[in-house]
Amino acid sequence: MGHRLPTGGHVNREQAIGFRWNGQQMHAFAGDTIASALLANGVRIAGRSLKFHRPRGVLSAGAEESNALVTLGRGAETELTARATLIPVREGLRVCAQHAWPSVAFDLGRIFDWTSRFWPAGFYNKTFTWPSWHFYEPWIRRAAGLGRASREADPARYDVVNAHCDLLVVGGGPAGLLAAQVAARAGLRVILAEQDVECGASLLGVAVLINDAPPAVWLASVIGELAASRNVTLLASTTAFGLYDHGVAGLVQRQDLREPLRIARERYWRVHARQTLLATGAIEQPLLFEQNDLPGVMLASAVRQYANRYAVAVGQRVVFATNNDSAYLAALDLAATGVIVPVIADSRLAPPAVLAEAVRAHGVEVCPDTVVLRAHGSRGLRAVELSRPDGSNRRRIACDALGMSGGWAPTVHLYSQARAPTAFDAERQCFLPREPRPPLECAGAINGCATLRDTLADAARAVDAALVRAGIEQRELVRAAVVEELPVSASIGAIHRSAGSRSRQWLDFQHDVTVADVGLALSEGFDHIELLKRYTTAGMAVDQGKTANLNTLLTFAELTGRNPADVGTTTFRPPYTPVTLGAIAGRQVGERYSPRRLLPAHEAHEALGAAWWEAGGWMRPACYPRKGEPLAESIHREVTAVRNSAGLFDASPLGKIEVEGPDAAKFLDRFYINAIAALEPGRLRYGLMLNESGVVIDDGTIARLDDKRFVVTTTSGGASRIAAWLEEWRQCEWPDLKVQVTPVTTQWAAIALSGPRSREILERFESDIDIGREAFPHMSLREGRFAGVPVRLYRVSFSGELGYEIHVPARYGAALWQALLAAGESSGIVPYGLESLLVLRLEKGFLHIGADTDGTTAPADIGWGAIAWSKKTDFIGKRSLARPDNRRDDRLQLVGLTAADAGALVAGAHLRLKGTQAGTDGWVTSAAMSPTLARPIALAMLRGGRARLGESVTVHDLGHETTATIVSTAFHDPEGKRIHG
Amino acid sequence: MAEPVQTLMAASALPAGGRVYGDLLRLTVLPPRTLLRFCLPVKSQKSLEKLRIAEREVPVAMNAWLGEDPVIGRIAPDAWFLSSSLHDAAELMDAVRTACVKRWFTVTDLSDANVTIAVEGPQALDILVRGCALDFAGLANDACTRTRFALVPVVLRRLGNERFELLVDRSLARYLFDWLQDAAAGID
Repeated sequence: MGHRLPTGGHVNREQAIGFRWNGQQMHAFAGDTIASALLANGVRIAGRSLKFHRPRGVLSAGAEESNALVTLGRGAETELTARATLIPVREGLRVCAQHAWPSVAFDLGRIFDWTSRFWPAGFYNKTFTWPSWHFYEPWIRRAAGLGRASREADPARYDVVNAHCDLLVVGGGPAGLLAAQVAARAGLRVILAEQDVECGASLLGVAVLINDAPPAVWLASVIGELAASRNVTLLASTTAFGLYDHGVAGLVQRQDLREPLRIARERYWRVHARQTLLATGAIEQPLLFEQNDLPGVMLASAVRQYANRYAVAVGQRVVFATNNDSAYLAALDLAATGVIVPVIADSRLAPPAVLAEAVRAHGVEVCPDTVVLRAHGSRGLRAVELSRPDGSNRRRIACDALGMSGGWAPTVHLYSQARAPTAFDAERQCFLPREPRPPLECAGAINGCATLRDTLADAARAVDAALVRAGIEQRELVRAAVVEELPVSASIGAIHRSAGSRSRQWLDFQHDVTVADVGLALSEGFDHIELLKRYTTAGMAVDQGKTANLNTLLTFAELTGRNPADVGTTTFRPPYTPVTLGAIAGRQVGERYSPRRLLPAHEAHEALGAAWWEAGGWMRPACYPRKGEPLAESIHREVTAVRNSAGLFDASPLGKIEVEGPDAAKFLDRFYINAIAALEPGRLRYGLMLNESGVVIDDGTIARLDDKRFVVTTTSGGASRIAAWLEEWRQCEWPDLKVQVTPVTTQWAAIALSGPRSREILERFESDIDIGREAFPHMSLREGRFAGVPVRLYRVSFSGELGYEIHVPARYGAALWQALLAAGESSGIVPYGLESLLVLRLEKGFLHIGADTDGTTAPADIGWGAIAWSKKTDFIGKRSLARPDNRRDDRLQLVGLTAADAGALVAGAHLRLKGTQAGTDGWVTSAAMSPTLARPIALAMLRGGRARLGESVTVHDLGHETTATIVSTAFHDPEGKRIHG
Repeated sequence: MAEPVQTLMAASALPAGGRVYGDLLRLTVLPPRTLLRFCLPVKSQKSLEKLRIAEREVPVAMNAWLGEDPVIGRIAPDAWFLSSSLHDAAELMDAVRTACVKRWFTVTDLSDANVTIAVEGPQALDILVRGCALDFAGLANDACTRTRFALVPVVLRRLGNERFELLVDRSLARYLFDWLQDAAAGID
């Protein structure tokens, strides 16, 4: 049973902290993690495994924890699957075990363990094939997952910061600290990220001397210097989770670890580093023996950390088992606290002489050539059975904790994410960085260093290389620290497992993958490590196999008789540890999810009660419902008003681009399928723009201001895209043309005045422009002054009625809107919104690019074939129009549809011609109940449609069926008389 | 006859005024300025160093600005902005035409298309690094650049160690100002 030691550790015994574990009040000290506090309070079962719900205790003291995954907080602030080994305890913290019912101590889910022979690796691939996967899916979904997420919105804030540095140091252990210190003194901008709440890493839990003093003295000196350096950003509680191209690294900093929720719970650092130095250390690996997952079995380094850093003994009698030297140091430190350490089982024939002598001095028996055969216990360790590797000479040792060390796996995750190569080191039985991969450098335990002395020397080498690459010639030497430590070899003994055992030896604690599962996968042909991973799910849990992958691949190598070097590793991908979606989203949530453009007269529309619609990034009035008026009735009223009197529409988002220069006409002629060069000043023309494939990408008007100046309009959503399209061709393809392209969309507010009484309303304003019927015909443009301000007055219509667009500098937009509404009041003017406009244009059969067209629509499909083919000069897309496919008669063609009742006549509904049994002959692109015609109308793309006018077609939508008649696209005023008003 | 529009200035969609965060940060929407986009193709840039507009030097260095009023900043190989609180657009355009009488150029009035937001104070950089991936250590006090800030395109101008201006599209000004305020509230 774990307990608090009377002395020692770095916790603050003066500051007691109360927290709740599964509703039970517990006590800890400031400086404790949840894991150390649970151990100090005698808690053995900290979690349950995913598949078999086996009881699991704390395994480690770091980010590699696979067992003690807990739920923090409650309600909207619930945080799932937090690693208890990294989260500091704070006053009032609520911690709950997860994935267990009714409790973590007694979990009915354990039934899966007792029936485990029915659930071998890959069982779902075999079991759930009949009658179908979907039959079982609800139960599988319910059983899967860890914890229960809150359905409430997360109230926490998340922050995102961009940062640049000359050297990013990942890892605040001795190697990282030394490297940061040297680089900072050389004047580099340094960012140091440490995932623990404080820097120091292994030095926080070891008993060595640095410069004749405890490590804390050296740490305080270095950290103090770094914290005081203006060119150093020291980030504790910060995990580097991803390393990307061009030196970009993703870091997540937890902000709420030490105190209740602060301003931002987490901060996502996007670091742009010229060089990166990885001092990420190494992760101790478990040993393989029967029941090696019992609570009480943990990593030897964790036993040492808990004793030295947190003053927590993980048990009353603690046995150690190892295949390397490091566990001796753990045994030595623990024995020094007075905890009984009866035995060290060392699988090697020759234990390290100095270390063995040191532990024997504390009464510890050293057993060479000895392995753990199995652990005994049910809900916690009670004893271990030791034997020779061949199974002989068995003996049972009573204990309540076991510290195991199966070697060390360098933390090469980030290094490998950068696609840098690793190589298998037979002596250390692990994969090491093969070589420096500038600007990426590794230092310390990641390079296989086993002692502090070697680690510091390696860090000095690595940072020196980084400084040379940074062009630093005068490098200030940091005085080499004098380290007193026991000799430790990096050499690792063989990995033993209980050969032939029928009991389970666990490789992946979280996903319950055993040695037998590897054998099963091999027998079924999954003979590649990547296939094995996916079949068994080893290494695919939340911990991403930090304590599983190495043993899995070594087991795989042994069972297949291959060299581990040939087996290789699976692919390392970001993130190194889980990252919350909140951290990635940052402040891009709610109102700030995406930028919203506001109209110049936004407040005026708001005051009129506009129903808002986000379209093309703009907040636009859909319509202006009166109090209690349904939206459909509002649209009906607005459309009727435009047809009968006048309506006012805010068209400011309409894309506007000025094209200016001696070659402006030639330039534009190359974009539009109709002739532009011949356009006279003061006139405008409607045009279609194609891409190189001959597909319609935009439409709008082209107005000629004078010989050298044009204003083209684009769809609202396409304004930026088309401006960039013009600019790309200007710069890259036709730099010889004297022409400039300037987007002016928001320079000009645009108000559309439509309806038979629109002219009489305009005439109420003072203007130097003659707006008489003949003087200012349809498709004309005049520049001048209107109501005292500069204006570009268009005679143009998208409603089919007499229409004008009044473009004024945006500062006057709101005022113009209100002035026109006031002036038109006696003429029955109403404001109308985008929904109403779309109905108006649909009644007229005007095209809505993006709704009535898609990525395959050619000009001929919408009735523009003759114009395109007859244009003599070249334009973008012309060549593609000559393809036979573009001249087929059975292409999808734009037609109109009418029906007696709306029924299935909705946008997206599919069409079938007579005789078509399956598939589709086209679809409805726009549909509405026409207020003017008092019947449902629609535009549709129909196979060979234009030759089928007058025929019937069946319209299908979600099980509904309607018969519609194929008609011309112009439903209202097909002769176009009204538009010429 | 309806009333002239300029006497009917209505409520604007722009953010109003500014906000001060202690002594550390001030966010201000600056009064409207004249803003021109001046394009001079590379072929017309001979003796560029001698070019003067409204008696002001035209910056030759890329992403640099010069002058007090008008401010002239180079934001592309063939494009500059001219900004002024003293001159109206017509005056400034005339000045450009006078200066470039023998060159082919274009000049466009964008005074209504943009809004300037000033970010000043010791925490100015803390705000800016939350919205922009630029390395501000490499941005001199006479630098200006087109970039993206909080997902929207802006022209960023540095006026001092702790003084910046963001030139943003008018339609996005309120979004950006709200974003800046939110970021300011989130700094430790």
